[in-house]
Amino acid sequence: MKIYHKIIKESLKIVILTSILGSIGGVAAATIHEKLILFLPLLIIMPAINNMIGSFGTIISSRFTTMLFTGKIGKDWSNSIEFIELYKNIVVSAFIITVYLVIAANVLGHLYGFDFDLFVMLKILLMAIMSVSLLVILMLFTSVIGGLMIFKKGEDPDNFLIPVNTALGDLGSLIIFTTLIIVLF
Amino acid sequence: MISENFKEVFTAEIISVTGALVAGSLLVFQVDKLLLLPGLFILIPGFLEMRGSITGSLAARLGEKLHIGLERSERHKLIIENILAAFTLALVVAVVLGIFAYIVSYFLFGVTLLSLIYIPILGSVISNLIAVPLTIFATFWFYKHKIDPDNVMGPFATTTGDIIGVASLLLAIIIVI
Repeated sequence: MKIYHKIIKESLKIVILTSILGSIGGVAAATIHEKLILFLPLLIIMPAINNMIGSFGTIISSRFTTMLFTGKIGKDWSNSIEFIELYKNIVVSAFIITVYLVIAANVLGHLYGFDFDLFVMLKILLMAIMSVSLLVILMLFTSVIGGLMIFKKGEDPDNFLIPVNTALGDLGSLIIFTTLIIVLF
Repeated sequence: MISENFKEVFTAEIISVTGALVAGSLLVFQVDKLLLLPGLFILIPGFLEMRGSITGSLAARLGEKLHIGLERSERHKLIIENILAAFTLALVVAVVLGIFAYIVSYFLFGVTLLSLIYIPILGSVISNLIAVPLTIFATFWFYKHKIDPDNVMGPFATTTGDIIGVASLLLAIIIVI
């Protein structure tokens, strides 16, 4: 049972920690549960926004770390072609996917009986774009500052950036999204 | 002029969020229960996080070993111990999440329902019974068909994890409540 014990020893703490962080984000959602149920597209889109931001966190962290290790990025990171390409790829992908999600959530919501309302859809689009932009910029900023600091110390930035950006994505998306729902709905 | 990097990021993301969208749609089927038991909102994100972490790392471990090369006897041992570990992790985390949701629900809504502890436990068993064999099969299948599991199993695990996770939780809700 060597493999079993190794997996439990190495994974248990981190899986508990990330799951609890996810549920802390869920606490924010629970406080506005009536609005989520009233506006079905919001309920449908929430797991997808959370999923997307978490995935971008992992992509940003691992790509930035690879750039550091391969010497494609350094102190003058803002002039690095690779970094600019990463930034553009993430921003363009995030924008297109967010628009896709909002339209799909509204179509699905309508199929489940929610009366389509263009104004509601535009508000959801605004909320989704604001949440995604804010968190993507925050994660890029964390990657640059944190990544460069950790790399300078001779450690692997992946070990720091992936958990930090995942937590930022999981917690941040639900908290920001919830705040915007309170403000806009 | 679309770069290869953009295509890879975009394709993986679109598959992954579509799965999450399906998971979100499944929630609509139980809105009455969600309204009665708002603590479920606390449970769902953590539960999906757990599902993704367990199957994602299971696929990564299997992929790594396949690349190194394994004897038939070693492969059997690896699979059995990984299955046991996935069930243990899911059960322990489900209990922790259930207790967390129960406590927060009490302070936030004044609701004390033990169902909030039973639902994630049952949900974790149901989801593991589907997700773990599926992940193992998919990892071996991709490897056998010359597709690197490292490149595809991440989005595969998160997509199937979200759908199976929500469906299992809903099934557990129906059984428990």
